[in-house]
Amino acid sequence: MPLKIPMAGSLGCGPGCDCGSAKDGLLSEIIGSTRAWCQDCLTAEPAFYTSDAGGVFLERLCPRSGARRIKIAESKKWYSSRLSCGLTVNPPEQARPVLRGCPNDCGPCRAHLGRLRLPIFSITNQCQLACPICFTHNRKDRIYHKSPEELERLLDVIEAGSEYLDLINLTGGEPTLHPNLPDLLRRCAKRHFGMVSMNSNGLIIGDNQGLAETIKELGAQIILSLDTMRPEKSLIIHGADIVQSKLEALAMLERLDIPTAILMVWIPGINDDEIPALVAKYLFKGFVKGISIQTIAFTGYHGSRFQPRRRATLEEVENAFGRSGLFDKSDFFAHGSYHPLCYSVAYYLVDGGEKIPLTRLAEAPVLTRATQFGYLMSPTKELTDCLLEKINELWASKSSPVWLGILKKMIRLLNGSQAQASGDLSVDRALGKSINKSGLIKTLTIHAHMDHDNFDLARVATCGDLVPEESGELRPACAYNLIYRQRDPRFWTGPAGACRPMN
Amino acid sequence: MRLFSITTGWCRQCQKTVPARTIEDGGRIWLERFCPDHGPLRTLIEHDPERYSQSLAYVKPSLNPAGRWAPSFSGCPQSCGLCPEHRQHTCLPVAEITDQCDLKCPICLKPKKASFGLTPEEFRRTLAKLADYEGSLTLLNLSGGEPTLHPRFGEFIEIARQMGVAQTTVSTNGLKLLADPNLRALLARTRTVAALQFDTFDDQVCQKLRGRRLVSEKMRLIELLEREDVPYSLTAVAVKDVNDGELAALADFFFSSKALSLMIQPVAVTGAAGDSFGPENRLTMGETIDALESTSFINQGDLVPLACSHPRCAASAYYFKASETRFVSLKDFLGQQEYLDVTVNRSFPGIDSQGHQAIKNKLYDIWANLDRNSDDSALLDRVRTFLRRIEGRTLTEAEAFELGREAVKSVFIHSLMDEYCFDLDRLIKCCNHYLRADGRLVPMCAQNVTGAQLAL
Repeated sequence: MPLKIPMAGSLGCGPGCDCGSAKDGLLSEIIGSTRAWCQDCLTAEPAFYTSDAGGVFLERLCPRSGARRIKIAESKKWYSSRLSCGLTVNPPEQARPVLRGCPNDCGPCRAHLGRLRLPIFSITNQCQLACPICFTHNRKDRIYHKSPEELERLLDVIEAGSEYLDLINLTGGEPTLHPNLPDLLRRCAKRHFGMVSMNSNGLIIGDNQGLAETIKELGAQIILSLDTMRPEKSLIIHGADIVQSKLEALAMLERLDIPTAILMVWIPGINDDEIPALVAKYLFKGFVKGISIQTIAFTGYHGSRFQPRRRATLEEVENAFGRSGLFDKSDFFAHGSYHPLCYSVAYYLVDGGEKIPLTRLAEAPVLTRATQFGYLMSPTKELTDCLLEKINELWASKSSPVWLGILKKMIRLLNGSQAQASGDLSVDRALGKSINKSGLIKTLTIHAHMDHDNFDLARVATCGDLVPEESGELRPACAYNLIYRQRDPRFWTGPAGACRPMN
Repeated sequence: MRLFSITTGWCRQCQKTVPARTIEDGGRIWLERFCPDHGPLRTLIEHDPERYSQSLAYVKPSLNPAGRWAPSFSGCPQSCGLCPEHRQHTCLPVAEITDQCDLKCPICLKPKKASFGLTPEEFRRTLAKLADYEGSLTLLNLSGGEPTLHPRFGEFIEIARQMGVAQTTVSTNGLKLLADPNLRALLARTRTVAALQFDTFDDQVCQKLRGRRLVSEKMRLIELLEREDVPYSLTAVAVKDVNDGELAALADFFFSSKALSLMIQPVAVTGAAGDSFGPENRLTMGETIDALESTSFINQGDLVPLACSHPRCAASAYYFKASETRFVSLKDFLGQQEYLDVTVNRSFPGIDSQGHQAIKNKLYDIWANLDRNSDDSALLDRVRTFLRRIEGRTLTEAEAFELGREAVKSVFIHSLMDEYCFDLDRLIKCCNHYLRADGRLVPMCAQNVTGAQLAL
């Protein structure tokens, strides 16, 4: 049914709209266009980026659902600094034809502009928890564990989709509940990936030293979810007080020196006041290689029902880190392999209690370009030149002996010469890997997933976090979460109507 | 490769919207469309990626339409009229009062068998509705067909005047105007601007563009218009490899004439033009600017995108007339930022209180800072005369226009869309709207490109 519109009145707001009231008639700048997925119509529709004093918004008008206006940045200044000159993209070499238009042809199709950077796949749908914030859909009625044969096929698909990958990611459910986990990790380790990472809630790792030792032995990196240290918040976030279990998991990972990344979900009004201090506490520990902040997205069986339904923009998180006094907003820059509304990263050179944000050594665009080739930063010639120049500057000024020391270590790692940045992708990536393993570098990543309300095809089309299928498809993680998981009986259940067909 | 936007385009064959994107590839900017039935299609929209990238920074808030004329919304552009998706009010209402024409121009935007028109009564009704929404009506364009062929043409001018339109323009091929002294007298008396189609000095080119050799008639008409004090402007449709080489000469001619403004419209290959020319004949905004700048009066950087519309749709330059041979760019005059503030959301700068004040302040600055012994004495005299006339007054719109005619010359580029470059990102910011007999307001390019598809 077409939407009836009052002739001179204002628009009604649809579900999920951030504005809270009609915005018709106000002065706002249209700063760009995109297309967005409408879950009510199951179709992509025109959408626009607009800006006013309140921030930058994704706006669209659906004939069925009305107007929706979702904040995507706090300020036009931030938005423009990340997106003003277009977005450098790197389309995959192999792609399927466009038949029904993004996101209906995912696999990827020829409209896709992002290369595979981080394959993410679920090895089980089993989990001990039913977290209210969980953005996936784990069916309890049919427990699924990925078989070794399925895994091998999947790894073939991944290898066919990319020349070199910094890391792959196994997720769940809770992967440590997979009965053949060591076998799967071993099979992954045999392939030529920079690193095998695995998500975990840590409940088993914390008190199963045998499993932890096996993980260590197989060289896998654990991505430990850690959202709060406050029991009352744990109840809201996880449905249970699991703070003690998290502390035990952290202790185990630290004791065994298992390379660890920590994953925190940023939930405005729940744990956003806690996260910067948690990051400051853990990021610079030896066993922690990086911390990833994921802004909450309202998808999945539980996540789509979570309240309060308040999103955070990347800029809001950056601002909060800046306000904490522990970090600086200027530490962050756009990750060159992703859409700037999806990833913002900070890199720190660390040594002996000192940390230097890379943005103090090289301009943000240089760093963005250095992340265009993979999930991790590449030591591009442009970047190494910047670092060498900085060394000379520090040497001449004799002002920061500590910084100079850290930089020298870094350059020694790069083997002291720009010539090491060879332009040969595999060499540069391997070098990047050794830098990342050295412990000299820590990464702080802010990553925004999308849900129905802010599902933006510009972000989907440039995504490098792809979910591989045994049948050969590689699909952007958010398209998978919102659209394609519903077609996979291993991860979807519910009334027949819940699994709606595509248009 | 760079992605500039994901957007919505148009499939010529299917006559419906399709997903599209604006990308840089191989040092060019392209609009790529993905039609499920006709595959990927690619149209060149700009040669210079850096210039394109910079042009996107010209953004100022647009002014939303006060009223929505579409009765229901099923999506843009099919619910056009204006629908709630539209983000720009009506700067220039265009009334196509008749589909009759005494020419069959190969560059005509209208389909050969189009049927449209307005009675004076319909015109009055829709104009009244628009005036109600807009508060006041500054500009109005009468178009067609050839509007002067409407048997009740004079009534439209009178109605516009009664409704308080400050400036009416008439898009015309000039043939009736040349033949009919009474018509010229009507325009002179009512200060109605004849927007004369004038594309070339070469009769062979004229044959290609207008289907007839009309150069001498046009020159004779211009002479008459100047002699009889009929306000007029020049409009040239620019077609690549046909008359683009003449744009500099047209610009020079314009500055030496009494014409108020020069409008360059790169050909949009839609309607009859779509049968005569192809997308390869369309000049990009950058090419059009290059062809005009570095001529005798237009300097590099004078033409800037109109910040309230899409940078691929419109660019403009305004010049203060210091003497018969000296023109000072208003952008240099005001500085870029103030210039943008003064020019957005209005078709003629300086006539509302904000713009008027900005220009007045600047005139005082210049007055205070001019070196009185320098060559700027002519400019100084001119500024002084101007200041005397606006001292202590707020001009009515009509007075401001009259003053503007004497002191300001303007150059516009208006790039209309066709099926190949149709882009919703541009459409929703359009401020040139057709006044239709059914009481709706439809952006020009929505009507020209998708007219048959509008849910009426």
